[in-house]
Amino acid sequence: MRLLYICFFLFAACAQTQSESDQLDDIDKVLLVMKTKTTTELVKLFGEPDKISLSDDNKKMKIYRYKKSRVDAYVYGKNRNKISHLTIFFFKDFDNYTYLKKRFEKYKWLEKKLPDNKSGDVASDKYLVEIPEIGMQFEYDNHTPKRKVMWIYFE
Amino acid sequence: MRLLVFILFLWPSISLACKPNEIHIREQWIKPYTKTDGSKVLGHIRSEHCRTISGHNYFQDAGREIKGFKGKFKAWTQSEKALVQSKLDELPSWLKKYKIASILRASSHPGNPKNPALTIPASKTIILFDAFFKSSTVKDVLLHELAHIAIWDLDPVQLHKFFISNGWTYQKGKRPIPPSKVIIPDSSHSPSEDFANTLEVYYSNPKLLKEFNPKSFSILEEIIKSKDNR
Repeated sequence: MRLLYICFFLFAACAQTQSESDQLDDIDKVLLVMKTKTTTELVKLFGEPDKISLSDDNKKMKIYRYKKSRVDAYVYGKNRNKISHLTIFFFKDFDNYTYLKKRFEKYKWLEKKLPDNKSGDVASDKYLVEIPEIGMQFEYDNHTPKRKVMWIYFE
Repeated sequence: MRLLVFILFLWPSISLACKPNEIHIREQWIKPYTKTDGSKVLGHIRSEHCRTISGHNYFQDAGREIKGFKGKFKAWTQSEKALVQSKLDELPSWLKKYKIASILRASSHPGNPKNPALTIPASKTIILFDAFFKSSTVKDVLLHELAHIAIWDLDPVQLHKFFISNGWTYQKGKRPIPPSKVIIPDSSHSPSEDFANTLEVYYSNPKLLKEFNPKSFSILEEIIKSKDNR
């Protein structure tokens, strides 16, 4: 019983000392950033980028890269505070599709079968998912373990 | 309380890393059934879990239907089995940890008769065709196919770094966009193909990869080192 009290005390103490942004996961943070689409909000939630590189398409954009959270934010070259779009390399260690489906079930999903590469050396059964309400898009493959999603695109 | 909810929310992310000798089974609905002793089991959801691949008896003959393949299977010969096994034994130690659930034999790839093999990563299945046994690079082919399985178990930070280094991007309404220059032409088909090709070149012609993309070479070195130590 005493141990239970100690555990409860620890939980309560931790809950009080955690700030609100600590409790958000990376997708929550991305969704918040994309509400304002500003680098100010991006830096507020993710910190300073690990690297800033130029995009390949005529270097029109700057890419704010975050290693650990695997976030790449594409920022307009001319307007340094404005984000065009953002990707997060999801790739979590559980059934990604089921997780995302449950997490975003209240939104309308548009799911489209993608053409298979019939001559390739890997079997695939790929789908493109779009959730227009939150400007989200990703691909998944039924023939991969855990249906791991590589990039999730946010507009 | 908020922390408790947070922990419960994150629970899947800390509980489902399958080992290289395991296979991931998705959450599924189990229909009601009666056990052999007569007791009834109600329908229920079985959560996702990892199942161990038992033993090394992965050479399978014809007769099974495989999701993701529409060709006909045929029986293995002893010499074919021996060749494949000897080449699998020569693979790098970290790749050998990825157990194969089944290796099947078929005449030819339904979409490309020149293709020596086909892999189904979810079920850890590899199908080898006649072209495989005519190839002079059978070990490279097996390494390449195992890379298609291993990629899904890599550390996300390392894999993301690898794709940035190789030049992949993702844009609205498009498939992942390959870099303008790739090490082997079919690398541009998918990020997974690019990874398998790059890993194949890393072992078969390291000098070429070092010259082509020294950064990707060192990222692969990092990935292999971390896997070897696991």
